[in-house]
Amino acid sequence: MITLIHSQVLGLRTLRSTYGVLLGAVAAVLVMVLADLGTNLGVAYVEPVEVREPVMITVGVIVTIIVCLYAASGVAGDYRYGTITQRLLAAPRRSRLLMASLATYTAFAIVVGAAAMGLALAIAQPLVAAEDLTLGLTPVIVVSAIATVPLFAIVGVSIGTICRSQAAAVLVIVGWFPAERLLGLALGDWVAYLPYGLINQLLGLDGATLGRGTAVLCLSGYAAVSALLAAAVLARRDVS
Amino acid sequence: MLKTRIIQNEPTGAGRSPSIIEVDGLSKDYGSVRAVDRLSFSVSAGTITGFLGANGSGKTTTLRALLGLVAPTEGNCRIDGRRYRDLRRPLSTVGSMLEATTHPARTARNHLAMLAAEAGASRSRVGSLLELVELDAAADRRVGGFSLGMRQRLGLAGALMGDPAVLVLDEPANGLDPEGIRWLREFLRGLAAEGRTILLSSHVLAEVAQTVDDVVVIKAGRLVTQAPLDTLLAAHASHQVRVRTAQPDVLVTALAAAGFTGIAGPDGAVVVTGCPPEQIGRLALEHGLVLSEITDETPSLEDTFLALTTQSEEIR
Ligand SMILES: Nc1ncnc2c1ncn2[C@@H]1O[C@H](COP(=O)(O)OP(=O)(O)O)[C@@H](O)[C@H]1O
Ligand SMILES: [Mg+2]
Repeated sequence: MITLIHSQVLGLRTLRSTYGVLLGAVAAVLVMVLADLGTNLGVAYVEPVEVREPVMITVGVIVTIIVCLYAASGVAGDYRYGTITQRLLAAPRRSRLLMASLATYTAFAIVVGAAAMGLALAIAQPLVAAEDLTLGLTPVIVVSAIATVPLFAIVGVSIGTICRSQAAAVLVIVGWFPAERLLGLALGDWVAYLPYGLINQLLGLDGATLGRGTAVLCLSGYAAVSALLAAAVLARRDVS
Repeated sequence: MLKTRIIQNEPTGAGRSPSIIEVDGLSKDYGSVRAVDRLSFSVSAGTITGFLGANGSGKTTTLRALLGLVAPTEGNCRIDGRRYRDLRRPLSTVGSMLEATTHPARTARNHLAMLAAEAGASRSRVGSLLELVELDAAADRRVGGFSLGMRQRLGLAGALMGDPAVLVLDEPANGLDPEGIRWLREFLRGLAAEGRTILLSSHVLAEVAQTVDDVVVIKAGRLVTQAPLDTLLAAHASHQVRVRTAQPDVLVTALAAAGFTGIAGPDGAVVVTGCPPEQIGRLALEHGLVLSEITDETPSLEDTFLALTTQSEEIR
């Protein structure tokens, strides 16, 4: 298992796109936090929950989706380039390969999420302090935003494994946003329990109705179910 | 790992070394397409076996089933007595090379470094393998820009990462120029001399004829024959000579007396089978015949192969 993870980490480290994702995350943080706080701080944003919203959305939504897309297209890329063959030759017990991918991308997501949060706070804190306002952060708030990233990395790995095509995986992840909106029309309040709806709950954004505990439990459930589904699909698949 | 090459004297029977690869009643259906059909063969330890068949005959599917990548519809495959997925250290037991398994954006060195991690090999092995396949100068270039020959050599280096005793290579000679094929032959011969067992596929017999000891020939997913290459050639390539003379009848009689068959065609030419050209010349001289033509039409290696792989079912 360690050897498989080691190989996956090497694989990530030796692709330029990995650094592209890191840069993208940094750029997202800079643009989102600076632009949003710069215009709205002290005007539209006064309460702590409003003041910290740009930070929470940047890490919990933007960076989360970037990493989710990266995980999905990384895993699906193994099918595009045929590298899945090599991975399976090294790990003929396929569930072990999936676990190695999950572990690798989860770790990557935690690192990226924590770094993005650190950067966002480093930018936001002085701006907020200058206006005599507060972000009102607690460790739980910070950790839940960071935790969104690895939870969706797991979903990304699973979707990439199931779809096998990078385009299809991206379509599913991006297309799920409008799909969830449409479902919301039919589901009413229950939409809060759908994956992207749960992000708002976990981040405790304005209008959140569920507790963070419920949200993290539901999202973990989605992540676990998607991973089990991926394992089942992968176990049966002919790699030819 | 085996370090001595096992010498084979007998094609079959008690003297044959134990088989290290066994394909037993393998069938694979893709929807309504039967890619492999009740295929059985075995590969003896220490030999180089050519797995031959036309394009689409099921070679890749068979090798992928052997390596646990494709689930058999029926039958099973074993390496060293186990299914691939049950091998404790797969990359150190079997090295394999299948088409297109490298990420184009990665350098050769980084590709091998990933394999080294998977195989539990040291980083220094990457450098020595790059040297072995003569890619050290291109080690830090992206694989996407490699020629087919370079990719094949990188594939060979990858297959050898875990220092396996068994190698499974799918079309390793594909796309190589004659010089590349010669390089490959000597490379594989060297590996076999170290005691390794090699199973390699090809759709062109000539590419591998000078490399392999044994051949397994398949057609439309079914076994046509498994035999030592020499036996196969001897059985299928008897002499065939076309002779032209003013007195074909005299020649046919003389041939018959000497125990050979000559058939006179309507155009006056006699087609002789099983008799070398110089012996026909001697017979003609003894009978005072003037020969106006003597052409050796013995089928080439490729003709033999084509005959085998395009023959109708009756051979089975
Ligand atoms: N994944 C697949 N799906 C459907 N048919 C396939 C697949 N892989 C191979 N085949 C079919 O199986 C047959 C054998 O293919 P293959 O094993 O690639 O032959 P070879 O390697 O000898 O050229 C061909 O008819 C091919 O079209
Ligand atoms: Mg093939």
